[in-house]
Amino acid sequence: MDEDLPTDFNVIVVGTGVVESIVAAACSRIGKDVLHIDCSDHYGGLWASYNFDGLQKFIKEVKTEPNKHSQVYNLEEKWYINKDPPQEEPKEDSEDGKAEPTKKVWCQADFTSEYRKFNIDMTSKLLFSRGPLVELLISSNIARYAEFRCVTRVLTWLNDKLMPVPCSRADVFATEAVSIVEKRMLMKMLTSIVGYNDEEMNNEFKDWNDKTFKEYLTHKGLTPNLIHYVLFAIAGGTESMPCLEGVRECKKFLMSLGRYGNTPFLWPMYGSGEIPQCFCRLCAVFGGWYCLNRPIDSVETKTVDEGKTVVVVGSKSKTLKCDHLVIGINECPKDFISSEPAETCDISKAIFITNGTIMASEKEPLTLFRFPPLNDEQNCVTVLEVGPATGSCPKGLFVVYLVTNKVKDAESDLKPYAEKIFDMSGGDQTATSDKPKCLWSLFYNVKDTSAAVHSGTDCVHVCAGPDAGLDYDRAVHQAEEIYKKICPGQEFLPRAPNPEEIVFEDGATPGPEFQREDEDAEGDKE
Amino acid sequence: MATTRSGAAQRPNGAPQTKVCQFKLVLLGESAVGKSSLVLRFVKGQFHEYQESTIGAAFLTQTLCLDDTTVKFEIWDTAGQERYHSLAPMYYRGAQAAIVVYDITNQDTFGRAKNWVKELQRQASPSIVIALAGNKSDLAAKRMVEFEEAQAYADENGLLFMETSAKTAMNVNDIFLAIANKLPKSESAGGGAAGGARRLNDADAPRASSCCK
Repeated sequence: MDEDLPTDFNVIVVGTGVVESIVAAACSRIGKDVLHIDCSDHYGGLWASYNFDGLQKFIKEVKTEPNKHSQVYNLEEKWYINKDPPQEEPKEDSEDGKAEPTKKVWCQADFTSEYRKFNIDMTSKLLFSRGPLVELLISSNIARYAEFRCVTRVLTWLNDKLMPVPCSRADVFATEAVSIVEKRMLMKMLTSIVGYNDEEMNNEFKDWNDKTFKEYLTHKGLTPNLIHYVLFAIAGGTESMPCLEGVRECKKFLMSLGRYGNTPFLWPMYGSGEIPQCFCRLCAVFGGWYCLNRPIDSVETKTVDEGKTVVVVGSKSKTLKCDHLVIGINECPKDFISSEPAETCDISKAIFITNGTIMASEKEPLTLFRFPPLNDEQNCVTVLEVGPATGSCPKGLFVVYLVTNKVKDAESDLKPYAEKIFDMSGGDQTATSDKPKCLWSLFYNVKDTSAAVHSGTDCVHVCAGPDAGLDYDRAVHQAEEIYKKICPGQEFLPRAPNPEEIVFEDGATPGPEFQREDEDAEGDKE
Repeated sequence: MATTRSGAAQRPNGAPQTKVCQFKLVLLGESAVGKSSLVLRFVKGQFHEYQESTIGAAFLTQTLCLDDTTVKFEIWDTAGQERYHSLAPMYYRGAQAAIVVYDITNQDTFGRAKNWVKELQRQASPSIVIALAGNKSDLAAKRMVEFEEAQAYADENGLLFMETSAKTAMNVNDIFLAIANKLPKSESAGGGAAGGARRLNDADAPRASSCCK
């Protein structure tokens, strides 16, 4: 099947995660011969999105072949609904538009039959509207491969309930949660943070290096409510967040406001798994070769003529050679990881499928909710809720992602938060309640490999897996650093031409022009 | 569709209201069956005997005028990702139409075309309009796939079917036109599959009303 696959490349990329895919696209874009392979049958690795069937396969694989997904552990799946529909099910569906639509009672069989309508992220992240990934997508012209939705609201947890966070100027003035005086205070504070240039920033904050952001906000005279909004919801911090980090995070949030929607955030249609695929497509368009289902057996470096080093990759009884190997940490042989990444903090994650949104809204919401820590040992929990309009699930359902730094294990770390916003008791789905019913849940831990990994040789570049952060900034940054080592001095992902700008090479003779009448038939028929 | 058309014709002020609908159309089929050549013939009126398998184009666009509607096709090529069965699912996302291409001189490519149809039925939107193109009809002397066999398969599966030749241009415009005619051109069509979702571009000035309203 693969006799015609060439064996010599400038760059071989192993793994189709975000970092690997960006590097592959960047190298291919400037004319390097790139082979991009993945040992599994789909794109994305731990950055993939799965339909419900794919997700079931993933869960099974983690349980039966733990070596295949060595970054994932403590995986717990749970159903809160029956396997099969109730016997006396009324025949008509809710789609009939009857005057009194009864709430659908979901069963496990529905998930199986509608599996294709799910796109569930293993790594759910948002894009800041003016963050590095959006800028890169636009400047490289890769943005045209994907569609996005704006996050419609940012929520926080205040006085033991969910509260919307006013984030745009209009929101601030529309909200009834804060007084007029507070509104002015908040606007002044936010405006000044955005307005500071680097020098002013250093001046304003020179005495705040060793203090917390909360102390700064208190010093500025903000009321406890406002401190809560700014610290937890806008800066995404905790009580102990250092001042400068808080300011930086606020600035990032505020700078991304007003570009696309009411909040600074974008969500990729059909899930985060589309992001690496967009970069892979660009790589392919510029001549990159793609092979899924292609495990590698060996990696070694060889010094050839003139002291030049090549990397030799054994894969399916084929010997592949390249000047540079870019490899995801999951696939990388241990001897190329010079030192195990410093034992940073692993990630606790959970995915829930519910029968309603966590907070009612006129139109289908797309929500970022930053849950402040419930106790001192814990960190903020990032909650993302996405609905059918994002292509994540069938109508009537929502998918909710929870992410935090690991303290104990995913379930212990996240269940207390989930119980605050969902009804996890199972039971009657039609009962009216203020919280949506949780129908299905999955808890899992992921090793944090985002600390920069060095391979110990100049021609093997190891890519980190997903980090716990809200955005893609670290992945984009790492990809650019690797690219600079492979292609020093070359522009990173210069803009790809639009179709209408492409001039096809002359020399090739256009085909004969018989069948003119066919072209006329198309012509400008009125 | 017929009703839409007559409705437009009855507009009292004479000026026909032209509706512009944009559709994503994806090409599928084995390597070397002539996918890129079909598009180049359709979009540029060109044919290159030794078409490189990669053309550096993410997608090409072409506009067709129907009676009261302008149909703009955004045509996606596989960019070679179909080799080694490695086509990314994002390729099918939001596609409203597909042309599955085989080579009439190569029976294997017809078998693979059937697999691509299955793949589309599995992965793509259920309402996708699929056309089957038996390409290289100029090489009828070396024919290995009978017209009737392909026609019967297309009928069974509700596909449009034509034999085409990118080289002579036979049926190339016609197959795109047939697809354009079959696509639903409702008000909601043309904004991509997902209403309210957006592409990003640098021309986006801050807007008073958000896209998500």
